[in-house]
Amino acid sequence: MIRAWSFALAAAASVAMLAGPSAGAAQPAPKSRPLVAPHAVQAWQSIYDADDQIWHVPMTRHLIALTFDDGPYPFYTPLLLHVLERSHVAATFFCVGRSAQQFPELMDRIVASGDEIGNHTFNHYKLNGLSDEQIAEQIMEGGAILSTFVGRPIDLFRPPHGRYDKRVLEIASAMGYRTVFWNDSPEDTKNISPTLEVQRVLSQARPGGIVLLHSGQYRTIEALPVIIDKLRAQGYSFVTVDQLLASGAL
Amino acid sequence: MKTALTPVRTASWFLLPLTLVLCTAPSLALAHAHVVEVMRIQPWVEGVDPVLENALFEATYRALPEHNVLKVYAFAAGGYESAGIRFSARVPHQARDLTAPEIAHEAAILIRTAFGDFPAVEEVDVWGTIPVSLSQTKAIESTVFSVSADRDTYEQLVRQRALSDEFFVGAFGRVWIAPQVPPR
Repeated sequence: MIRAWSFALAAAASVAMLAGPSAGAAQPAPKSRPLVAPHAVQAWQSIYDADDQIWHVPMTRHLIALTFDDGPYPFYTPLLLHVLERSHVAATFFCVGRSAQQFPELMDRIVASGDEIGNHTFNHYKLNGLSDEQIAEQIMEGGAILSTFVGRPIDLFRPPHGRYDKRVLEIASAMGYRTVFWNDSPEDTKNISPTLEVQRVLSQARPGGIVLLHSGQYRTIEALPVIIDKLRAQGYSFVTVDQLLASGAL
Repeated sequence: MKTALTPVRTASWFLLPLTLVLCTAPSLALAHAHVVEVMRIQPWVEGVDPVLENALFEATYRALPEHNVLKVYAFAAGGYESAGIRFSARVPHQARDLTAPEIAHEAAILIRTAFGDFPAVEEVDVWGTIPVSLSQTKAIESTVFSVSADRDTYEQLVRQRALSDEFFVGAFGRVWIAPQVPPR
């Protein structure tokens, strides 16, 4: 009997090694980097620095915000919304104005689901390569289209590809936007396995954290229920970025 | 009763896992190779669920008179099966774009085919694109039409007879038709 159990355990261990950690081992570990940018000081007073940029919200409560960049995308966005709705999780979608224009029904559904909309510009260009006028135009046109779905002005902004410079931050701030980055990114656009994606999100999770995910990745849709379950098991509750900011310093 | 560890017994602990690894590894490799092969020779599927996608492509490609389905997507997340169908809003081999009524007609066919032939599909997103040349070597697609159809609405619509294509497609919610689409 003991031998039978030993075999079963050994076999289970090797199957588990094949299915789980091996997938992680096949991928390079994310490079070690600070959870917040060097110039973002971690004191509460400084989560809004001179340019209104937000990387996370220091707090003791286990609140965390899931954010999804890009889209809306046909086929992918409805699946994502289904997973979020089934898990009773509200998230923040940083949508691209051009995509919103081309897929209005999907935008309506994001809003109807109670999720939050942020501005991800009109064309998803890398803003740090544009002139001041072009930067302003991209943010303004994206915001103009997205706000028609929400019914009020949008004040959350995230630069495409995370590319920014001082001008981008200043222009966005002058237009009334709070620029939202993230402290937790599994780098899900790099074709990683759902298993590794879950591991990376969990390893970087922290109270007041902002998780960067992407709308057009089916592996993210596969990983999302596990991410939600495991973070909940660690005591986290999910909020939108706006709710996270409102809960700061608690 | 305590069982003593013998060299043979100890070795057996490692033999089974080793056998499992050796037996499983080639099959995983073959499965991966199969997916890669499917992706390579069938660019009309996204590759999320190639079996369902190929079946969906076959059904929808045949259903359209112009056979201009470009790519299909299919996936089930948490028991919710979703499909996506991208078609060309430019008539193949002709220098003209589909008119709005033609687009509505093709979209209606695609939605009816997807829901009718695939009972597990809960949602079908259909969008039409036209190629936009950025340069002589690079082209991108511009979306000129989109609709997101859900099965509940579809089930209500199929009970009604003699619906125009425009009414059928419009019943699913907000529809995008780009300004450059010819009205007639």
